[in-house]
Amino acid sequence: MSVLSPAVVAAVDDLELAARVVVDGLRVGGHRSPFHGYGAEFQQHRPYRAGDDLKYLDWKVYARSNRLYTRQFRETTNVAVMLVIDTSASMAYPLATSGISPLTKFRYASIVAASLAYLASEQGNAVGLMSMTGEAMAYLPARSGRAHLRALIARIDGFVPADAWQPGLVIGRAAELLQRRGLLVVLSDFYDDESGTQRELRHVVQRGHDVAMLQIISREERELVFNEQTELEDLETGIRLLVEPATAAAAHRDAMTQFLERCRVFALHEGIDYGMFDTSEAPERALRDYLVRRATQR
Amino acid sequence: MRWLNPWALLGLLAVALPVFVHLFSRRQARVMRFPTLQFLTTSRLLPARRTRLSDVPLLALRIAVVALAAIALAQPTCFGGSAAPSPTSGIARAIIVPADPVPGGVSTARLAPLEPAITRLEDSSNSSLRIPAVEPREALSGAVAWLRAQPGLGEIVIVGDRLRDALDSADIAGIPADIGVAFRPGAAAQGDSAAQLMMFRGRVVWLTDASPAIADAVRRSVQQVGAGASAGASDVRVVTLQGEYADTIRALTSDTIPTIIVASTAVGALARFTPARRAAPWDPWMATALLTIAQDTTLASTAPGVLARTDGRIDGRTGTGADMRTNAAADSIFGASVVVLARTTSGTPIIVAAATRDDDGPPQLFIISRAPATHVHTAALLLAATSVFAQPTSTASTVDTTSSARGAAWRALQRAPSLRTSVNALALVDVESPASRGRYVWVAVLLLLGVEWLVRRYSAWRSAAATPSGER
Repeated sequence: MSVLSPAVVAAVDDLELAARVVVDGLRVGGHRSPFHGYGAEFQQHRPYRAGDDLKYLDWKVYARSNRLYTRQFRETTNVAVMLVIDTSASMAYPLATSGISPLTKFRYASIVAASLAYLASEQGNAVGLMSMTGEAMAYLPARSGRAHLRALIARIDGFVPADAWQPGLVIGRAAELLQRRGLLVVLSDFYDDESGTQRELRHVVQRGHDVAMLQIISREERELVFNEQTELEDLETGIRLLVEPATAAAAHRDAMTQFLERCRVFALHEGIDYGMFDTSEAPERALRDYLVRRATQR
Repeated sequence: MRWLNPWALLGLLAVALPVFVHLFSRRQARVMRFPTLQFLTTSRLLPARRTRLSDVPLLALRIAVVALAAIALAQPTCFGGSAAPSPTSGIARAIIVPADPVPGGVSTARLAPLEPAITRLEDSSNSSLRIPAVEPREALSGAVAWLRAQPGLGEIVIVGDRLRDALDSADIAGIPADIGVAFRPGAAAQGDSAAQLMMFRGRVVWLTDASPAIADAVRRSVQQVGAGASAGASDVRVVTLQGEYADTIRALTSDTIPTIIVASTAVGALARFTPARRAAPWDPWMATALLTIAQDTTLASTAPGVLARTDGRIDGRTGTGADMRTNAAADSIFGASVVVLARTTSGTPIIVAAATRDDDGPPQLFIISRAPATHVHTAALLLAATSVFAQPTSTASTVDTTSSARGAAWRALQRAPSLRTSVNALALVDVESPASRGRYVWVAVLLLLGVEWLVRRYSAWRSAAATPSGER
């Protein structure tokens, strides 16, 4: 199976096309989409036939009745997926000039979000979008259908990461607008307002929604990839800080690791689905790994 | 090795600058944009001050550049082992002073006003001999004989109008070509001879922003060929300009003596100064002056291949005031009335003249040389300008045109050998030509700057390559 490198995906300018490329990559190998768990509700049992995926064999029934039954799912359209994308300026990193990753975190998030939307939409789910551009919320209600998917991807494509965002507010509003129980996918670096974000995510879980935290981080920010004195300027606040990597790198790496660990533990603790995406990895592979892991967790 | 501008050697102190820079400079921190600073703490910075020099080769290059620039500014001169007598060895002067008709007695009363000038002449000479004479023709042969016995350049100075009037062009032609002849006019009160009346009196001022050493060299060139006194011009003044040009010129020309101001193109303020005094009636003497300068063979010979013949109207000796005005209207450079005296072979004007006159001030003629002035060229231009005042200005109304045998002889004298002599003398003087060495040093400075740039680029490239952007 060929893995599309980040460079190749980055070169695909059209976000919809990029999403399709990624999703097609997921299907190579003939097995069914690992995204199967989404929007699928148990419908009935039917007798096992040779060739059925053992994964769907109902072992409990077998234990009770000594008969092999396969669980069958009904694909429903009434599960709504709400994508929440972080458009704060910190996502516009790494800058094109700095070298290692060809994708900014935001572009990476866009591709992952578009791919998820594509997958979910293909399986008949409703997909919606919530984000924040400037002071205003950008909201697209969860609907199914190809036209809607196109509009949604175009909307994602139109976002430009700038300023700061208020993750608590956006997540809360997204959950409110998500009718019934649904899946809330947050794509962000989770730098802004850590406690507010966690509080709001906890509320969303408590309301019964399925929540996924997709944390997107670039390697350049985990390690300080320069070796001379550098003045770092915060992308969101513009505050500058003079940094001597010889003395600061270790502390920064520790703090960063702690932060990522905090996010992971929080997600685990709250029953939130957590995925960490490194922008130097191919989005297609990262997404597949994530989805497979997600499917097996259920 | 001699320095034309020794003060510039103080600039060598500036080599301390790169040393300081290399000791105290810290590389400007790069600014990088970063997603968040929340995981960063303020770093302990490396010390800004260093005890050791960084980048020693680069420092050495920079010191060399600064030092060479200082040396170039100081304008080093090297005297080759030329066989030509060095002007610094001075000049031998035979000074013929008027004596009373009574044999043996010097006319002390008439010489008294001239005494300081004669003393100055003697002081500036390597050796000098004062010859009292009633009849200068006889004194000349003795002077020539004496000068032949002296080393170096020789010059005969004839003091007083009476002695000058007693000579004619044949006497001057009889003097060997390598001996200069200079005339020192008598006291101003003595306006007794017809020939003197025929000499148009004026003054030549050389405005220059050359270094004092160069100015001095040119002045000596002019003095040695005797031009400063040979013509009717009462003096040649060298004014080394600094600061306000207009005021300097006004102060120089405040009296009513007609003045020719020779200026090099570097005296750029003249361009600003000239148009302000545009009211420019062309006096007849100016016309004559322009003709004289335009046709001066000395001037032409100092810049062979550069000077081309100038406008036909000047060549054609039709130089009346009206003609010059027409000519001036056709050729305007500074916005003032300008006459082109010489052009390069490609047609660029390189010696131009502009006439000015205040409402009640003296007439002035600016001769502006736009050519890169060598000493010889400048001295020749000055000579040509001074020789203007030796012209019998028949068109000048203030000049008595009553002719006499002596007057006719003087008319012939403007073509007399004194000016031709001066070419030889100038050639000797030009041995000193000091301008050229600094040029080579500047070339070296430029080369070093190029090398410095390369080294700087190389070290920048090396430090860029050291950053771990290729880590993966």
